[in-house]
Order: sequence, then structure tokens, then C-alpha cells
Amino acid sequence: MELDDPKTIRKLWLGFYVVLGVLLLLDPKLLELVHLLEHDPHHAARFVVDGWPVFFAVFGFATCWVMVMGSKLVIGKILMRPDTYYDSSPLDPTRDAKGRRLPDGR
Amino acid sequence: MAASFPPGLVLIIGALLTAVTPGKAHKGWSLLAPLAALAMIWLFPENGRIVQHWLDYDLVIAQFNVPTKAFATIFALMAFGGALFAFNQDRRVELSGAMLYAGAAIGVTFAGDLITLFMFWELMAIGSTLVVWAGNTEAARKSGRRYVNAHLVGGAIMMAGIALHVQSTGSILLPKMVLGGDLVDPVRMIAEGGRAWLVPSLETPGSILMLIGILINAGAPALGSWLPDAYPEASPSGTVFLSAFTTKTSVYVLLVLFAGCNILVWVGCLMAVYGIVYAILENDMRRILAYSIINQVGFMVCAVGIGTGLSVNGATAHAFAHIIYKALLLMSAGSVLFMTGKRKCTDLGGLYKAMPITMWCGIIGALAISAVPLTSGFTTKSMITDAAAMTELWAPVTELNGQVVWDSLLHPSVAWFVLVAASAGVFLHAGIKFPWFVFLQKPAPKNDDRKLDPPSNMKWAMVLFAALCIALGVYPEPLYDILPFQRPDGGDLYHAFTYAHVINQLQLLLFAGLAFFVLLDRLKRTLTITLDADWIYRRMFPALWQWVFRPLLLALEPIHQGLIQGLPRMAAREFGAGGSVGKNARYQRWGVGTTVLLLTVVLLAFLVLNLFVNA
Repeated sequence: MELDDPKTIRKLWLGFYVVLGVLLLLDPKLLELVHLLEHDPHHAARFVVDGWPVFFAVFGFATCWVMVMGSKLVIGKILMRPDTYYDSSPLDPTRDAKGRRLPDGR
Repeated sequence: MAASFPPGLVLIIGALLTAVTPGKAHKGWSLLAPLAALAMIWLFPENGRIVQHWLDYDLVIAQFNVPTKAFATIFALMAFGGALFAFNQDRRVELSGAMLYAGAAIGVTFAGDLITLFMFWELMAIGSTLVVWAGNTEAARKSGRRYVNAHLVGGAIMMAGIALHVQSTGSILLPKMVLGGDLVDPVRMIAEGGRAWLVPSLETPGSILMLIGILINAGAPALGSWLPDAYPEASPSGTVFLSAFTTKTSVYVLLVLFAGCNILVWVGCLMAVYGIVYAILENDMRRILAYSIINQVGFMVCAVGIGTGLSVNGATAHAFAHIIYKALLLMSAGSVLFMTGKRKCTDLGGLYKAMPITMWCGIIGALAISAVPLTSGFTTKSMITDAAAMTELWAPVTELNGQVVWDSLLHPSVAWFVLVAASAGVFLHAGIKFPWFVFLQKPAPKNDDRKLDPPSNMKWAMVLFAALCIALGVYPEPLYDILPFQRPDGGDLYHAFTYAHVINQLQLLLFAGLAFFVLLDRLKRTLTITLDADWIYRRMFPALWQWVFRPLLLALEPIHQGLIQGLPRMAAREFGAGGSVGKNARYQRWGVGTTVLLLTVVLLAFLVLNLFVNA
């Protein structure tokens, strides 16, 4: 059972999907809908959408997708620079006064 | 005896002993002093008060404020864990700086007035700068210089705010914070003499300046870019110390001065999202963790803004848990850096066989920061999201045409949605990204028999903190017992483990995890940095000098020359002895130095005479 074996990786993915599926089925609002679970007043919906079944799963996936895409495509496009950006500057921490790379060189 | 000695001073004395004890013995102090300080904190009497008269003020050097016990306890614990992690290293300056830093942080939590608070606050800046500089590289020296400048400016702004506040109210004392009825109700802040504490309403310039000064230390975006700039440049153990005190002390000070200041809700939300976005784009593993500090502190700042009993408890508990798991994550990252010398995600990966203990401790820290059930993040952070959900209790309302409407730009429910999204984002940028890119990512070399787990003191420090993360997740009651507010009816403080809560949290996190693996190609690390607000003083100001102000000054040089040379010459020629009398003149040239000295003496004489005249 090697971690870098493609077979192991496939099994891990399969396991992951099963866990995700089970979590969706165990959703408290879903169970309330099919009357398997009593309504819990402490977890009543406060903002409408959080009362929908599997809201948290969808919200988690969607916001992460938006955050990754947004940071990559918007912030990254505008603000990303090569990591030697500050190097050629007079305030460069990785070079000495004459522009030579310092021995601890990063 | 405990009643007459401020606990923070124990660590500060420990710092001095660490600095002067010869040989290897100095390290012993760094382990003993935090434990002694911890004992003093717990022995300090509940209503004890140490008052010292100084100038015109009665300074309250030490007293228990409502959140003091939890904050001081975790600061002392953290100093011990950090010293254990640093035990095998010979950086005396770093150790004594860290002890000073921790002692000053404890001093802040015990301060009963604004002046004492400020003095310890500045002492922290000194201690932490020493820790950054102890990184002992050119990069550490330079970012340390930027770091100390940012903090000195912040300190000056805060002092200006305190001065204005003291001048207008005539009181230097901190307000009392009391529960406003039930646990979920907004807390009440009472100033000296039973008046209402008006600082959170931000009506005076003094309170605004204080808030800016504190937010600089808290790492709020645009003011806080010193944090990801300086922390990752310290030594492997130095970063562990740095992660704990400055930002969490700011949370403490915000709690005691600004609880219920609604604008902080939005500052906190901004911090939470900003931390995630920058951490997603970052390549250096310790910079990822530095950005995630800002993200986590965002939750706490938001809780301060909400200002209900539950959210004050939540901010305190989350700070307590956060210090432990963040230190654990940085210990794990520090071990990797210490053993491999690599710090970029693009260079790391495939270490799961070589560093099993480091990896598992890192994973426990990562699960705790993501608030997975059974870890300390779950039992603490949930209080903040729950408090944010009760918008009717904290959001300001006004009456418009007979209708009650929300008095804020954004609908208050936005805060809850942002916090939940940020909880998912934490799992994405720290919970999975950190262990994945550092330890997994690439296959390990065939027949990998490298033994790269760090020396035993580092391992034990990690194991200790990992155990704490799980202990607080399984049995949080000891932590709940020292939180600021208890239930008035004496009931259980908070139930994190309800069916719906556990399942919803797991759904949120695991689907965020799914997004991570689906988007893995997008997340592949590149050799890049992302510009932050420090660009302004690292690039814009130097460029302005080089391309605008310097040429301008050079262009003005003839005028300047004319002023300092031509004008005196002309004056001498026209009016002076040299011009009219000619060669025989007794014209003596006075150097600038002599003139200044003469002026100083004259001014001193005036000053002394003035004393007699007034008397």
C-alpha cells in the first residue's frame, strides 16, 4: 500500500466521494424533510437559505471556487509579480550594496 | 506576595536573566520564567490591584480585567512552548527578546489604565523587533527595520489617541465590562464613576486614533502588511514566538476598549477574506501561515465588533485556541525549514516518509485551524459564527418613517455569510494547502530512508501543542471556565457538539476540500509574490524620491546655493565689515557649530531665568 501508487490514489478518491455522499444524506434539514429528525429550534434557519437542505455543502464548494478563481484571475493578474520583484530595488534584502547575491541566498 | 507583584514582570526579569547568564544555562531561565509567570497569574488574587503613583497619575499596574485570565494564561503557556521549541538553538538575543515580548504582552493584559497599557505595548514592540533581527540574515535585518518603524508609528498614533482621550475625559482607567443581561446580549462598558464608556462609538478624534493604532498591530489590511513581511524572515523558532503575541494582544485591547464598535465587524470580515486571498496566491510556506494569522484574527476582530457576551467569549476562546494551533503549524513549518533549509512550496513536497511526526503534528494543527470537530478550532470559533448569526442582538438599527431599518451599509447577515465562507476558505488555504504542498504533493523518493524529523525538544514541543489542540477540542470545559462571562444561571456555557452543527461543519469543510482538489491545477504554486500595501513604502516612496523629489531638489540647487552662499556674501559686501572697511576689518567667521552652541546657551539661560521669574 504505497501512497504514490495510482491504485491507492484511486481508492482514496473513491473513499472521499463515499464520505461526501454520506454527508449529503445525513444533512439535518434533509432528515427533517423526510421526518427522520425532529425539528431543532436551536438550528432554525436565520437567513432563509441556511434552512435549505445541503446548503452548507453547496456554499462551501461554491465560495471556495469563487475565492480561488477570484484571487487567481483578478487579484493575481493585477498584483502577482516574480518573487525576485524586490531584488533589483535599492532596498533589496537578498543582495548586498553592490547588487551581488548574498550567501544565505534566497 | 502574589498580590504585590505584576505577573508580566516575572517574564521580563526572566528576559534579563536569559540575557546575562553565561554559558548554556541561560536557556534554563527561558523554560522556568514562563512557568513562574503562569503560577503568578493563577495566584494573583481575583480582586487584587497594584497601584503605583507616577507623576500626576495613579497607575494600575496589575488587576484582573474580564478577559485577562484567559489571555495571560495562554501567553505564558506559549512562551513555555516556544522556549522548548527553541531549546536546541543558540540565539540568546532571540530567547531574551521573546521573554521580554511575552512578559510585556502579559503586562498589557494586566494593565488597569491606558498609560500602563501603552508602556507594556511599546515594550512588546522592542522585544518582538529583537526576535525578528535574531533571524540574522540581511533579509531579517531589513524587514525588521520596516517592522519596527511600522510599530513605532502605530505606537505614536495610539499614544496621541490616549492623550486626547485622557485630556477630554480626565480619566486614564480602563472601563469595566459587564454582561448585559443574558449571555447573548450586548455587553455593557462602564467608565470610571459609572458613566457610559463612549470610545466604541468613535465620536472623538482620540478614540479614532486609538483604534487606528491598535489596528496597525492587529494586522488589518493596508495597515498590517508588516506582518507577512517580517514574521517569515525570523528564525524557525523566532516565527513561532512572533505569531502569538502582537496580534492577539491587539484583540485583547480591542476587547477591553472597543467591544461593540460595529465598524470592526466589517474590518474583521475584510481581514478574514484578505488573508485567504493572499494565502491562496502565496508560495512561501511561512508566508502562507502569516496570511492565515490575519484571516484568523479577522474572526476575532469581527467578534469584538459584535460585542455580545457570546462573541466576547468567542473572541477570547478563539484567541486561546488560535495561539496553540498557529504555533503548532509554525513549529511544523519551522522544523521543515530547520531540517531541509527550504521554505518555498515549489521546492517542498514528498516529505511524508522522511518527517512523519512533523507531518502529523502539522496536520493536527491544520485540522484545528479549520475547526474540524474534535479539535480546538471547532469548540471555539463556532461561538463567533453563532454570535454573528444573531443579528437582531448586535446590528445597529434606526427608525425611518416609523419603520425600523438596519443602520449599516451592508445588511448585517452579510457578516455571517462572510464568516462561514471564510471558515471554508481556511480549510482551503491552510487546512489542506499547507500539509499538501509541504509534505505530500510529489511522490517521495524511492526507498526514502531519510530521517528528517527534528531534534527531540522540537518534537516534544510539537507533540505538546498537538495534544492541547485535541484536548481542547474534546474537553473544552477548562477553557470555558476561564472565559470572560459565565451563564448568569450557572448553566453550561456553550454546546458545540450538536448533530446539525457537526454535520454542517463537516459538509462545509469537506466540500471545500473537494474544491481544492478539483482546482488543484489552478492552485499549483509559481515563483511569485503578491504585492501588498508594503509596496507603498518599499517601492513607491523610494521611486518617488528617486524620480520626483531628488530631481526636483537637484533642479532647485542653484537657488539653494544662492541662499546659503550668495546671500551672506552679498550681505557681507553691502553691510558687513568686510565690504565697507576693506582689508583692515576685524571680520571673524563663525562656524555653524559655534553659532548653534551660542544659541543653545542663550536659550538655556532663558529657560533657567524663566523658572525664577515664574516662582
